Amino acid sequence: MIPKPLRSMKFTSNAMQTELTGKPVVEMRNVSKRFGSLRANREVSLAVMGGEIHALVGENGAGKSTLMKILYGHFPPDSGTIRLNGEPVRFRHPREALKAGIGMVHQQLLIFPQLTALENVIVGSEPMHRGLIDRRRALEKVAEIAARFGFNLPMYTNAGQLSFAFRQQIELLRALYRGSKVLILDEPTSLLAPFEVDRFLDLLTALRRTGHTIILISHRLREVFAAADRVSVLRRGKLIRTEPIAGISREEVADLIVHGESRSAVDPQSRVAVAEVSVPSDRTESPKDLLVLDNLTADPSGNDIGLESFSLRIAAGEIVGLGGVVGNGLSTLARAIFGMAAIRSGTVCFDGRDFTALSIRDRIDAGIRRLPSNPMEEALLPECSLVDNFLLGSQRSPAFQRYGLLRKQAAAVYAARQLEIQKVRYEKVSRPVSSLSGGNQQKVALARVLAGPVRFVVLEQPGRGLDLKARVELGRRTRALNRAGVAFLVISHDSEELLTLCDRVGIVYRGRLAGITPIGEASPELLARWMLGVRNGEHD
Amino acid sequence: MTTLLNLFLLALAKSTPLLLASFGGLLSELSGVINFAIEGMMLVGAFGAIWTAWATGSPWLGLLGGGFGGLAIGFLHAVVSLKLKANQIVSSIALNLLAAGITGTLLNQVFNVYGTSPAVPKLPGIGEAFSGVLGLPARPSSSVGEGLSILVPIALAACIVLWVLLHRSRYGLHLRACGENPGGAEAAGLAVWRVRLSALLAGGFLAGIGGAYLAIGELSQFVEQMTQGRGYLAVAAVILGRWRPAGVMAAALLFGFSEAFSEWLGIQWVQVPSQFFLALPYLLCLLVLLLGLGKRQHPSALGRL
Amino acid sequence: MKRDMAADSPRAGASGGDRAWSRLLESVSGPLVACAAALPVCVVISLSAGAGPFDLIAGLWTGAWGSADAAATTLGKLTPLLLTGLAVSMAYQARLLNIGCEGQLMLGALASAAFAASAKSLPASLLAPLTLIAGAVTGAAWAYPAVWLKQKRGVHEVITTIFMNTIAIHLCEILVLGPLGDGTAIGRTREIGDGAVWPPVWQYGAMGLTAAPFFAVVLGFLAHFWLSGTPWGFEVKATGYNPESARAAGIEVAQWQKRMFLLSGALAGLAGALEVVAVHHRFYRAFSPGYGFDGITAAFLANAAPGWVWLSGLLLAGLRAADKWLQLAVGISPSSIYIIQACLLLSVAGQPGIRDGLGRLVSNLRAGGRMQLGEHTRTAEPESRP
Repeated sequence: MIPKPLRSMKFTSNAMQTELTGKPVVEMRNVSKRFGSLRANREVSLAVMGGEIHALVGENGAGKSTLMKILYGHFPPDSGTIRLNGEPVRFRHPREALKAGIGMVHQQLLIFPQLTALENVIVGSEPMHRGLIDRRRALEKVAEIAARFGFNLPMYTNAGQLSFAFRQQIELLRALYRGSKVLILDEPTSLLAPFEVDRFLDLLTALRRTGHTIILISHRLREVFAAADRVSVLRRGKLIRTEPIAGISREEVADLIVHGESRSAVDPQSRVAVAEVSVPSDRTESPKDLLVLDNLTADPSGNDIGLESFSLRIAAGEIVGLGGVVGNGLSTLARAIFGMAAIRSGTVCFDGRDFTALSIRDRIDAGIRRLPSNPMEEALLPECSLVDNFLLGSQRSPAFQRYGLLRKQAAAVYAARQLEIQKVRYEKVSRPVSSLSGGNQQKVALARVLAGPVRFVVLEQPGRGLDLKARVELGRRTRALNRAGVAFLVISHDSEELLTLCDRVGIVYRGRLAGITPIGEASPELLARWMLGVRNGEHD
Repeated sequence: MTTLLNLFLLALAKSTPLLLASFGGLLSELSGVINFAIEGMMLVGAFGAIWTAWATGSPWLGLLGGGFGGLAIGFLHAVVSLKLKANQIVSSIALNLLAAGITGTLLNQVFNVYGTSPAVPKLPGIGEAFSGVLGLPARPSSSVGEGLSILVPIALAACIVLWVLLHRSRYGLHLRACGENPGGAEAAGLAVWRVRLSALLAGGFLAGIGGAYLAIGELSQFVEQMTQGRGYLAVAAVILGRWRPAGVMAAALLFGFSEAFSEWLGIQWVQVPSQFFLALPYLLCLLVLLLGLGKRQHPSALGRL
Repeated sequence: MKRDMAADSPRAGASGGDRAWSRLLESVSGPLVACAAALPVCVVISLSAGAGPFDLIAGLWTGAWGSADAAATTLGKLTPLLLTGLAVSMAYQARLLNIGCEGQLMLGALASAAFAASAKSLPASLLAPLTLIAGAVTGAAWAYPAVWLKQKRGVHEVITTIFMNTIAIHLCEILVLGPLGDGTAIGRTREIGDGAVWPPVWQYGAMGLTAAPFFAVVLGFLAHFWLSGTPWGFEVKATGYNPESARAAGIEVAQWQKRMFLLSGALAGLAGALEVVAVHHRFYRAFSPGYGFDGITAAFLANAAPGWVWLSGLLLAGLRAADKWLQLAVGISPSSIYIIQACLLLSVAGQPGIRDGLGRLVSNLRAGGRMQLGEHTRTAEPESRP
C-alpha cells in the first residue's frame, strides 16, 4: 500500500466556508506578554474566522506558542483583550478555556505515560456512576468519537508505550471529547512520518467539515499551504501580516518569517527557505571508508528501540542522511556511534580502528562529534558560566591546565574569542549560558561540539533543535568542514530535510537499515515505502 | 500450631503501622511528591495520639489526634516542597528532624519527663471492642483476641478502600495524573497544587495513624524516637511495591512479617545477640531491593513540579 | 546593545541593575533568611517553656561561647560536624545524597579504635596515620553498597544509606559487646595506644583542645580548592550539574559519582576516627549523638559548598555544645535544638521559592520605577474585562 504524495491545494470550498461564517470566532486584540525583559508578544491582533483552518507561522521564539498559551488560559496577557464569539473572555486557567470550548494539542505532548490511553483521554471530565468512574460509558463515548474521525487508538495500552502518532491521537481525542469547537494545534506534524502527515491533513479537513475551527501552528510551509485557509506571520513578537493562502506564495511567507518583509530580488544568500540548509555538492569524491558499522546490535537507548545487525559505511567527505519514524532506532544509532549505547555484538570501526569498546573520550579525541537534538539539555551546562561551557570537554587539555591546576584566565580568553567568532551577543563570560537567548545558546553548543580536530559529525535532528539563524550557521560550518573532508551523518525524522542536504539517503526501520540510495535516485515515495517496512536492500 | 498462629498474628500486628504509613506515602508519591518524611509523620502521630488521649481520656480521640499530627507534617511538606520549591528529599529530612525536636520538647514540657511519657488509655483489642459494641460481658482474655488491636483490621480495610479509590475513583485518577505529568494535568483542567496538597494531607493523616498505633495500639505510652526507622521501611515498601496498591500491601506485610519473625527468632536463638534480630528486617529489606528487578516504574513526574 | 540582548533573551529577570541585585541576593539570601527565620522560632520555644522570650537565644550563646570551657567544647565538636558536613557536600557535588554518615562515622570510629588498641606496638609515626586511614577506609567501605545498589539496581541511595545506618548501629553494639570490646559489660573497646592519641595543643584548666578542628578546617579548604581549581574537580561539578552533557563531553560520569560517594563515606569514617584519637581515646556504645545527621544540616546550610561548611559547622557545633546548658540553666529541653536545626534546614531548602518571590518583588518595584520614566510601553487599552 503506497501512500499518496502530499496533497495539492484545494481551496475553493474553504474560501466559500470562510465567507459563509464571516464572523471571527476568536479575536485577540493588542495582546502583549513579556517575561522579564523578553517581550514575547507585542500588541498582537489576531482574528480567526469560524470554520477555517488558520495557520500561525514564524521562527522559534516568534511568539506563536506564547500567544496560543494565552488563549488557552495557561497564563494571562499583560494587556489586550480576547473575545470568543464576540463575548469578551478572560481565562485564568486551561480549565476555563476548555469549558468555553477551546482545546489544545501541545507541541510537547502532554500525556500521562502510565495511565491507559482511555484514562488519558477522559482525565478531567470523567463519566461517573455511583461515585466511581463509569468505565463502560467512557469507552463508549470515546470510541464513538474515535470512529467518527478514523482514529484507531488502542484504549487500554499505557500511553507511554504508544507511538508518537497515537499519543497525538490521545490529545486530539481529549479535546474532541471535551466538546472543543476551537482546536489549537502546536507543531502537530513535526515528528510524523510522511504517510502519517497525510492522514493528519485528511483529519484536519474532516474536522473542518464538522464545523471545528482550527488554529495550526507550524513551521512546515508545505503542509501549511496544503491545509490552511489563511496564514498569519509572527516575527519577534509582532504579527506581521495575515493573508489568505490563495493570495500569497510560499517564498513570500518565508521572506516574511525571516526578514519581516518581502524581498523581490532573488538574493541567494538571503533567500533561505525555512527548512533548508543547502550544501553545494562540490567535494572531491573520496572512496576511503571513514566509518564502518558492521552487524551492529545494540540495546535500547534513550527512549528508542535497539539496533539489529545494523551495517553502514560512510566515506570521508560524504554526507549521509538517515531517516525513519520516531522509535525505530535512529536515536540509538547516533548514541551507539558515539559510545553512549550498550553494544551487544558487531563493531564500530573508525578510520580503520575498532572503536566498539572505546570510551566517549577516545571518540572525541579521534574526531568523532555529535550534535544532539536538544543541545541545551545534552551538550551544555545551563547553570554554568560561558567559560565553563567552553572548558567542558577540554578541561584536561594542556591549553587549559598546568601541573594539575586549571588555567581559568586562558579559558576565559578562549571563550571570549570563540564568542566573537560566532558573533554571539553576551554580557560577560562569567555569566551563565542560560542568560543567553535560545539562538545564541545553540551557537555556543555548536561552537563547543565542533571545536578541535573534527573528522566525523553526527547531526541529530538539526532542523528541530535549532532555530533558523543557528541552522544557517550550521549550514555554513557544515559546508566548510565538508570541503575539508569531514563526513557527516544527518539523522532526522524530517525526510525533506534529508533530501535537501545529503549525498545518500537511507531509512532505519525497526533497528535495521531498510534501504539506502544516492540522492539522485531518492524520492519521498521511496523513503516512505522504506519507513513502512517495504525493504529494498542497498542501492549503490 | 498455636506458635504459627501466634506468629501470623504478630506479623499482622507488626505490619499495621507499616501498612498505614506506606499507603500514606503511596498517596503522596503517586501525586508526584517525593515523601521521605513518613518517619516524622509517624513520630508526630504517635505523640499526638498520646497527648490527645491523655488530655481527653479517650483513645479514639487520641487516634484522631495522631492523624492530625501527621497531617500537620504533611501540610508543611507540601508548602515547603511545592510552594517554596525546595528539594523534596532535603525537605523530608528536615521535617523528620523537626518531628524529633518537637516531640522531644513537648514531651518534656507537657509531661515534665525525658524519654518516656506516662501511660495513657490505649486502643481496645478486637475482642474487647466487639464485646463492648455488642454489650456482651467481657470474655476471658485469650492469647488471640486480646493481643490484636482493633486497629489491625481497620488498617487492612483502609488499604482495600484506598486500592479502590486510587484506581476506580475520579480523585484517584486525578491524583495519578498529577504524578505522571503535572503540566498535562493543568492543561486538562486540574488544579495540581490542590490535588498534591490533599494527597500530602491525607497521606500524613494515614501515616500519623500508623504512628498512633505504635503509641496507643501496641503500648500505651510514648517513647522518644519510637518509630525507629519504620517510616523509611514504609518508603521502601512503596518502592518495592512498584507504586501499586497491591504491591505495597504485599511489601508492607513482608516487612511486618520479617519483624515478627526476627522477634520470634530472637526468643528461639538466645545465643545470638538481640541486636542481630533488630537489624534483620533492614537486612532483609536490602536483600529484597538487591534482588529487585531492573526497571522501576515510579510515577513519571515524581519530584517534578 | 543591552536592550537588543534583553529582547532576545528568554531568561526571566535579568537586565542591567537587576543582575547585580540578584547576584547579591543569591549568595547571601539563603543563610540569612534561614537565620532570620530561626529567631522567631527560638522566641516561641522559649516562651512555651515558661522562660523569657530571649532566654533560649541567650542560653545558646552562653552555652556555646560564654566561657573558655564552652568555646573549647564547641571547637571540639566542630571536627565531626565539619567533616560530616563536608562528606555530605562532596557527595552532593555529584548530586548524590549520603544520609548514611552516622553509620559510616560509627563504624569508622570502631575500626580505628579497635586497630589502635590492638596495634599498640607500632611506632607513633605509623600508628597515628594508619588509625585515621583505618577509619576512613571503613567509612568508605560502608558507603559502597549504597552507590553500587544505585548504579546497578536503581535503588535510591537515601533508602540504602538509612538502612545501613540502623544496621551499623546494631553491628557496632554486637562488636563492642563482643569480640572488639574490652571484656567488661560496659560496652567499649580497649584504650588506644599512646602513639595514636592526639595531644592537646592548647590547655585551659581541665579543658584541652587538640589540633583536630584545625585539621578539619584545612581539609575543608583543600576540598574547596580541589573542586574549583583542578580539572578533576571541574569534571565532578559538571557531573552534578548535568550528567548527560558531561557524559557527552567525555567525562566518566558513573566513575565520578562512585568516587565522590566513597570519598564521602571516607570523610565520615575519618570524622569517627578523629573523635576517637582526639577526644575519647576509645569507642563505646552510643558513640555518636547524631553527628551524621547534623552533617546534612551543616552541608545544606552552606549550600553544599565545601568552602563554607566550616561556618555552618561552627554554628551547629555551638548548638550542640549548648544543649546541656540549655537543659540545666534555662530549663529548655535539648530536643529544641532539633527544632532550630529543622527550621534552618527548611528555610535554606526553600530558597528557590523565597528567591523567586523576592526577585518578583524587586522586578515589580523596578517595573513601577520604569513606568514612571516612560520606558515601559504599555498599551493604552485597559486590561480585558471578565
